[in-house]
Amino acid sequence: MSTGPLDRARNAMEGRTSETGFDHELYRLFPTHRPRPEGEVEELEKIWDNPTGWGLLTVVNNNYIGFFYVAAAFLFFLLAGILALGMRVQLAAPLQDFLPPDTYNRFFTMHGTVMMFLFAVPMVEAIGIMLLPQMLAARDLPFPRLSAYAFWAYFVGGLCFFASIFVGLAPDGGWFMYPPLTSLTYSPGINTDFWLLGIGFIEISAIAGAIEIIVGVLRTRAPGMTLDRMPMFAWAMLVFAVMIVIAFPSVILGTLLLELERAFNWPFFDPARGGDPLLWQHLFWFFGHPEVYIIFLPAAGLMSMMVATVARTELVGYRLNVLALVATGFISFGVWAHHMFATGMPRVSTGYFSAASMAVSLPAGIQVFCWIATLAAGKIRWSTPALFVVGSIGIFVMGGLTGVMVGMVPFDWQVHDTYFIVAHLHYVLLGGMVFPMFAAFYYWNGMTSKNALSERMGKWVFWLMFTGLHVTFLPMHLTGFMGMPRRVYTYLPDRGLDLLNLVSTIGAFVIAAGVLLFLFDLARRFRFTTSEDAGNVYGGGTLEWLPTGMYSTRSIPLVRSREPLWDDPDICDDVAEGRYFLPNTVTGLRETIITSPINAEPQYLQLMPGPSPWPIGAAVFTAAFFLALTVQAYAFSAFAGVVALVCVLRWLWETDRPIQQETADIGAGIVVPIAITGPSSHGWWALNTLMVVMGMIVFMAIFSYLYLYGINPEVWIAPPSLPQTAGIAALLVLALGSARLSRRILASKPKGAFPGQAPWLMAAIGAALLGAAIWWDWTGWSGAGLDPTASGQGATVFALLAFQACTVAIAGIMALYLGYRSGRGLLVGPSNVTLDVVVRFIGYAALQGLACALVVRLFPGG
Amino acid sequence: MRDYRNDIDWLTPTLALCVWAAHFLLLWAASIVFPDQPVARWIAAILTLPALGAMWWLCRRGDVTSWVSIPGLGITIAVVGILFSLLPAIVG
Repeated sequence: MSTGPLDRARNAMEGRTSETGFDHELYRLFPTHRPRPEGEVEELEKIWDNPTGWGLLTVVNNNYIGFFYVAAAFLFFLLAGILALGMRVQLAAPLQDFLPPDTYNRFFTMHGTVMMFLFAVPMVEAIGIMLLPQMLAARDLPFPRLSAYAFWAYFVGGLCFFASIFVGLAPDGGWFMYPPLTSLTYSPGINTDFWLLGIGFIEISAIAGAIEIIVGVLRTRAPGMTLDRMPMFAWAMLVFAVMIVIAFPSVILGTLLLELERAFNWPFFDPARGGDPLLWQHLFWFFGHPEVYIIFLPAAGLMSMMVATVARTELVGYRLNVLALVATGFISFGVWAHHMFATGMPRVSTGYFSAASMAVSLPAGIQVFCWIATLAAGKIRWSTPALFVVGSIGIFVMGGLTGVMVGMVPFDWQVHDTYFIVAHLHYVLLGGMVFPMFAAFYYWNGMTSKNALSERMGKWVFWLMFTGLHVTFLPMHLTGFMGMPRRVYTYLPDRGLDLLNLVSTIGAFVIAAGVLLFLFDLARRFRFTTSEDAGNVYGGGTLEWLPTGMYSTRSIPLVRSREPLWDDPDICDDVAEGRYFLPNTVTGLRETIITSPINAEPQYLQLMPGPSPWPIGAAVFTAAFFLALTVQAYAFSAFAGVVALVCVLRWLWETDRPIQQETADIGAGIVVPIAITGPSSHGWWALNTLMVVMGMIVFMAIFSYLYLYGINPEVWIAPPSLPQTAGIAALLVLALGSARLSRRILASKPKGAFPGQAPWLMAAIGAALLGAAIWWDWTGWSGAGLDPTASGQGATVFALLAFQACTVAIAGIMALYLGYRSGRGLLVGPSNVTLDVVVRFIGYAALQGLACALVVRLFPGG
Repeated sequence: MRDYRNDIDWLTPTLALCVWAAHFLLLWAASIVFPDQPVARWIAAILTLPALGAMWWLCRRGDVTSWVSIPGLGITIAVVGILFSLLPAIVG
């Protein structure tokens, strides 16, 4: 029998060997039968209790943060919708002057930007934060303070960004901000900077949420919930979060480069100096098209769960659906340049993207057929969620079909930048995300509200929105065919466009009427609660419908099927009576069980942090940092950055607490360790994910370098000398070795022994070596005559060096933080989470430095 | 006793789609390095051979009990994607 790496990986994936050595026979002990001691539930309630009043600003629990997140995202949906109504009034008749041209430009830019960046992605992330812990039967997501930070950063940043429209500073270059229109020459004010810094900042918040979701789905599932038993929404959120990690760095880099060009005259996108505006389009759409699937896939996960409930049968083709999610995630990264068919790309290139655009419809089609088959196999109860679910399938299919049409190059040339595209994208986004979201509001409302929403009114909401959607967007296919361009504030009379536009405007107000009715019902019926909720109104079968409190479920169940509530009628009582895992608090602190990523075998007990003002402090000052940068208040920006950093370090201070107790009984006499380090720990997974994000930024920066090199290699200069390169590489290798040595020193100490100052000093030496390497690299290129303002080569090389310098600065701060903890006696042997994180980050920074130093020298000019 | 082990080979379809992604990106890179030149088409044809070879290897190594199994379908989708990508190089 072969025992190669692939075999070992496959064996673990298929569970032929236990991942952790956990004996599955122990599962027979559940549900337990002995009565639980009195007072356990009261103790759980006390530990998981949250502050009230202004103290709510410090809560980190997913019930609250998820709710705040959903409410904030919905607020932005309403605000962007109002902007859309303004545009439709302007276009209701030809040559109207309801909105002046400049204001119209700001309206369509803000509408697209807010819908995509402040509503769609945050909304699905918010629903994930709200539902996932209960769906996975975890006490909370693994980094509650990170969730809180992500939310507040998004909310504060989003409000500041939206407020720009009231002071005439809103961006006006379209939601994809193409240069040269957005270059300093054509957009001289700070409107564009608001977009670039605001969106870059908000994307950081999205990435923080994605890291939380990846680790949460992979490491906090209830025991027994193998990959094959995960709820479809959890699968969808996993794919969604991985896609964010891969795609979002591209737009973060793009916004940084454009801001560098505007602020410091580095010519990334200026063809006169070796840049290329098409580079922006590549960077933007490498994020922008997967973004559509990033929005769609979680909604598809919600759909898959609701379809099963409304049809009252298991989802047909569960595994096919998972495969389709994964395949969609992959293939969606091969379609970005179909937005660039009209830019004159080489003919074969356009063919590749056209082919991939059609190929992606295969897995998307699989999902749709699975839903239809499920509805056909079951007996539909025509509730409000059912209407929204069925309606969204039809709308999404219509949008998908026009998507295949525009995937064909000649057709795209004809309708590019016309209202046909507006119609297509709204069918896809409303059918693929907005309708499933409304279905989910009705379906899961019972988890957070004392009262269910009105079924009668819900049906009115559906029919108004469904009718309004078609009345609005169906005519736009025709206006597009008739040549009406997008993003133009008016049109001439007697071109056959008048009636169609008027109909579209009427349709938009019909949709608005549906949304207003929903708001009315919400105000009438919705009452937020974490304990006395309306419950499982539609009869769902997954774990989020177990009886819960702020601590999620009283005990964490053993999962035996995909719909445990349908298959085990006693599970609700058993869970509530504490007959499963962790029926109490073992340490007197907030805690949850960390399980293995594939088979969900119990591994260890994680201690979780409670309410804290530091995440919101960090978020507010991070927002202030970016806002001050936008208005060029550099001194205040530096101050805000330092305060944000202090807040982050202060919040982290409490998360690596030494605890005397080494093991915990998590029920039925099963004993696991408490808070471990290394590859089995959830922190290890989170740091790895962060490294992937940073690595993707570097990867896309290197792509930018190579892309510009391919356009104007003749104007590029020769790199610094080879001995200097060898010296930089040697410094980086020494930094890596020094950091690893610090871990070895600590590991050689007995349990609880203080190792002296050597470990942190070795880490600090590693960080200092990184600093020396980047200084040498920077001065080397400067000495070779490379100027960042002179050419695309200079701009991209110094952008890479600047990113590496930032990474090194973070490594330095981490080393000093480690030193401070060591000075307070908190660094004890043989292992320590903080030291582990610092050492691995320094190692990553060294490898990133090597890549940055070597690659740009492999493609030199001269 | 119920089985508490994951019994689906998700690794094989994931690797198959990774091969598709690598094949796609290399084909695209060749098409922009050699714009509108026949060499880009030749590179596409040549790169398709190792990609299909990787698929064959995955079939042999993976738990492909039939083409309608999850690993089988994953490989099928990836192969369709690879052949689809090759098409513009031949007829485009």
